[in-house]
Amino acid sequence: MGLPTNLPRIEQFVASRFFCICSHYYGRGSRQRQQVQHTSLRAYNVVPPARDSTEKAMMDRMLRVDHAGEYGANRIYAGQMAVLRRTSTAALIEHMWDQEKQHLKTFIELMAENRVRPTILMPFWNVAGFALGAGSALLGKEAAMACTVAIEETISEHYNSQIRELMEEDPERYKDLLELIKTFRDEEMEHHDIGLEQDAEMAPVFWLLKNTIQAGCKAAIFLSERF
Amino acid sequence: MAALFRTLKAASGGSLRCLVSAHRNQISKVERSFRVAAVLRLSDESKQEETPPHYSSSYHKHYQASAPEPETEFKNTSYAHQSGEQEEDYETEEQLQHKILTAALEFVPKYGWSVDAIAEGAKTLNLSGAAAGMFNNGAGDLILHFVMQCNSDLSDILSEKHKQIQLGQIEPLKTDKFLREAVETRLRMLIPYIDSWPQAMSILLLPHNVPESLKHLSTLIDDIWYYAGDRSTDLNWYTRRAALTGIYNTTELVMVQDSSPDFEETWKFLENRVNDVMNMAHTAKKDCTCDEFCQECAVELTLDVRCTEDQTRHVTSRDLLSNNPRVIPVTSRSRDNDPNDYVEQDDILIVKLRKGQELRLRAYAKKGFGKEHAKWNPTAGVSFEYDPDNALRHTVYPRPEEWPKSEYSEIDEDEVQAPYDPNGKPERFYYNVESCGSLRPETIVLSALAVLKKKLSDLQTQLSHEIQSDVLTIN
Repeated sequence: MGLPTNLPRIEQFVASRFFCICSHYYGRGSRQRQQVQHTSLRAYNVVPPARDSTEKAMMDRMLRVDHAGEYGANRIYAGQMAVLRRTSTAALIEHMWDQEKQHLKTFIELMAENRVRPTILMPFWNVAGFALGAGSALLGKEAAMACTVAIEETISEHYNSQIRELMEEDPERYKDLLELIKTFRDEEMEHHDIGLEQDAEMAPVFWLLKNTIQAGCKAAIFLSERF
Repeated sequence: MAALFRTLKAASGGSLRCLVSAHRNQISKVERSFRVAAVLRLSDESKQEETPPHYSSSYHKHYQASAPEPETEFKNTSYAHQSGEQEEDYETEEQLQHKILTAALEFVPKYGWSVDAIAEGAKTLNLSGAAAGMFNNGAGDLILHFVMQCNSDLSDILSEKHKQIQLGQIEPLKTDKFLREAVETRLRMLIPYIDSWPQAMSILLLPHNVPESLKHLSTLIDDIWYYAGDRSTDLNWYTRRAALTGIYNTTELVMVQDSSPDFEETWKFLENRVNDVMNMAHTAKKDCTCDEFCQECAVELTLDVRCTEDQTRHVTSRDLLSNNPRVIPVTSRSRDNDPNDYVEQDDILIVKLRKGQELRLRAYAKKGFGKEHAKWNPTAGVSFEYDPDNALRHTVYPRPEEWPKSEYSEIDEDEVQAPYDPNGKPERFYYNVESCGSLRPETIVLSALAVLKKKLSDLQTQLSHEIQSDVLTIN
């Protein structure tokens, strides 16, 4: 965990984006951004600048928990890959992991642009996520899929509640953010369905696994919103 | 770290003493009349021109804000009209409070951070002194207002600079320099009130003021890091802000009891603290503090080869062209440059090209040392020996005749080991350094000695600084 680095050199395209109140990226980060697939959503800031402190607090909370969630999901897939690397499911897990990586990248950019405080529990999610992924994978491929199903179901529910919250506030104002969250929610549902297809329900004590993991997930969401 | 704690203890001791003396002065000042205050205000305004341009832009704003106030509005206002819906050019209560507090700041040097200063400020706006009763928190409100004002001024300055950097008008600063400048700019805003600042600090520490003052502090630190370029989203976010908070608070404490001209000691203290934090971070990069590579620590080499003939083209290390004539591939060193070079250097083959194939690349030769990665270790082997004939009997051979003689042996063929010398001491040491080819053995040994010498001398210098410069001794 190193401390400060230098400011990046001035990127040429910053001038073209000067009209929006955007922050400056590390050179590496902006190069990455050019490769992001959701280019249509990244042409401008997806989140509108906050009008007052309550809106800022709400945005902060939502982005913080989403970022923590995607980071945790990343670590879970990493744990699963570590165990199931040489099996037949590796390709599938890799595909799902790549999508999660994209999600995480998007949220990191949103956090930076909107100056959102990340959750202090990040190192904890790092370890816990990897342990959960690896642990469930050690119980077998079906258990790993069951873990995926449980997590993705909770995350989809969570995204849905965020969508509901934003719709209640002002659907017009948050149109772009809503589109982004909807896209992510759809991809998470896709992972959920893939998990079910892959015989997740055949896992040992599936109902126990699923409920424990979901309870843990909900606790994580609660904590990340506040801390 | 130990230095930091000593600083804190000494500084807080000093600030407490300042607080007590400031309080005593206040009580006698309360009796002075408004005329004197007006005279003081006039003299303060004339003093404005002399203040250094560094921070006076923000300081001026305070004064300019209060100066035109009395003429514009509030001819027949009173405490009763606090809701403010009656007339169009009426302001909200918040704006009114803001105006009063800004006006009150002029009287702080005289009345200290107190309700009296607020009362005097209200009087300059043609309000009665009782308007100070609007502020439940009294002096706390005034101080928090001042802190908020300074923070927003700093934020404006930083965002202005940021815009200029984005437009390419000025060069971006390195992080440590940026942090130092930002903290210095912010602390300089305290200079006009520095005598009464310890009182303000202690008021801010009162339990009912702590949450809000912490909020202002965290906004300030977050702003500074944001404009310094921090976009981290992991634990770094917290560690960086914690570090800067520590730096800012300790520097503030040092400042309130600094008596050097223009607070030189404070800025030096600040520089040292920022460097401490930077050194903690840059443990891997010893000589260069840049990010990936820069002019200081890397040399660019280019290779551009195209095969146009039917024959195979061998791309070798000789095709690597450096932009620094002193840094070239080992094989490109010509014989006459270095008569000591006794090894035959053949060019190293990189790749073979067919007709129509082309290779174009840019490579960076980075300077590093063995601790970072073994590839930078120039030494292949080192040997050490002393007392080749075992005259001192530092080892006892069960059968000495089995053991081959050392190359440094000085005894005859038929002797097995030298006769025992009980009074002997190890005196002559035989070192052998084998280089892997990147540096000559003599260079390795001499530069190793130079590095060791530098480390010891740096240690000595730092130690003497620690002992001598006790910045925080209270005289």
